[in-house]
Amino acid sequence: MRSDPEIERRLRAWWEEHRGVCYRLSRAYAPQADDQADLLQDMAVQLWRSLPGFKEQCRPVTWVYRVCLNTALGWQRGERVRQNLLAPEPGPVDRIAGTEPRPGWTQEKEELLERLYVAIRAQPPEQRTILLLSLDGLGYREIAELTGLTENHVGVTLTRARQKLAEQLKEVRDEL
Amino acid sequence: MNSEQWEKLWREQTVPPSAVNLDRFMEQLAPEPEQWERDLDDNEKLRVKLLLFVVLSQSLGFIDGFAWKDWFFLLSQLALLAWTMANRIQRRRIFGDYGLPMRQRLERMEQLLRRRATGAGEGIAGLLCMGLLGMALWLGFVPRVLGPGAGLIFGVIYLGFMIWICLWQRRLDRSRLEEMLAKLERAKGQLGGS
Repeated sequence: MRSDPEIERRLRAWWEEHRGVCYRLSRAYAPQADDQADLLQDMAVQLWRSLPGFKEQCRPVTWVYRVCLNTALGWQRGERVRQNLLAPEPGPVDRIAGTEPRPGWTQEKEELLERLYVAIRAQPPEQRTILLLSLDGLGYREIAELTGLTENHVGVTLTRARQKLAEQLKEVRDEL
Repeated sequence: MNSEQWEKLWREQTVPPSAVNLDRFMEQLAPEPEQWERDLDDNEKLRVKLLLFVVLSQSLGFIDGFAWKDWFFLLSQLALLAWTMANRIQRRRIFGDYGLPMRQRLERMEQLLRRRATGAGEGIAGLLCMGLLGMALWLGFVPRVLGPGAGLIFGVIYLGFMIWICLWQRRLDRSRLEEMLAKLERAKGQLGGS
């Protein structure tokens, strides 16, 4: 693949710094491990393609969120028409294919995390996006900027999303 | 699990390095079109140009004294042109985006191959083209040059040739399809293991 060395250097640096964003988004949007890997790759490609157009008008992390969110939403729209959407949700633990277990994490903790992701994936798209950004520590203003909604709307939607999440996770045993 | 617990869990999750290996993602992208794809592309471009030239020259030549039988010839060329263009557009949709992740590319290719195996659209288009061309030669060109008897003989031979080529093409398609699908399976297997 031909690439401008400066673009590639920047992509690698940003990927190193913000890959967690891509990873969490991919798990929140794609239920199957293979799809998560594909979506992650799409995000990397999209970042690489969009980098020359980055205008420095926002922080790199905001830009990464924007590109990856759009990729995830686009992927989900495409995925709806694919047959494998009808496949059932994976089991409690379904890591991205070929990845190693997290050091120091028990099987039960992995299962709890997957339950959390399943509950997030069950949210409607807008609530899911806002909830994810909020869990990642973004404030109302940043979320509003990213999603194009008003701060008020973000606040109301987030409250609803958190209530729904609490309802869904009520049954999950306290294993932490 | 209450909100504090899930937030703690969220914060504690680390990213497995192998899941976000940028080099692996980039390796899996199809970097350049394969040689055969480029050859196919060049052949098609040439075919489209030739057909355009034939259609244009015939249209100009037939302006004065255009017999109804000549329409078959012109129509056959137009149909062949449309068929070539449609094929080209379809192939572009599959192979055009060389930046597509390899897995998606392979899946699309497989879908296309399987559709071809079941659908007869392309075969019908080909038959239509050949049929029109045959009619043009049978009714127009051959009797005009060699006489009506030769036209009849040509028509029978041409019909036989068409039947033979359909059967032969079908067998060829099936064996090539099986070969391609086997290659695809192997490629997908390698991709899954990487």
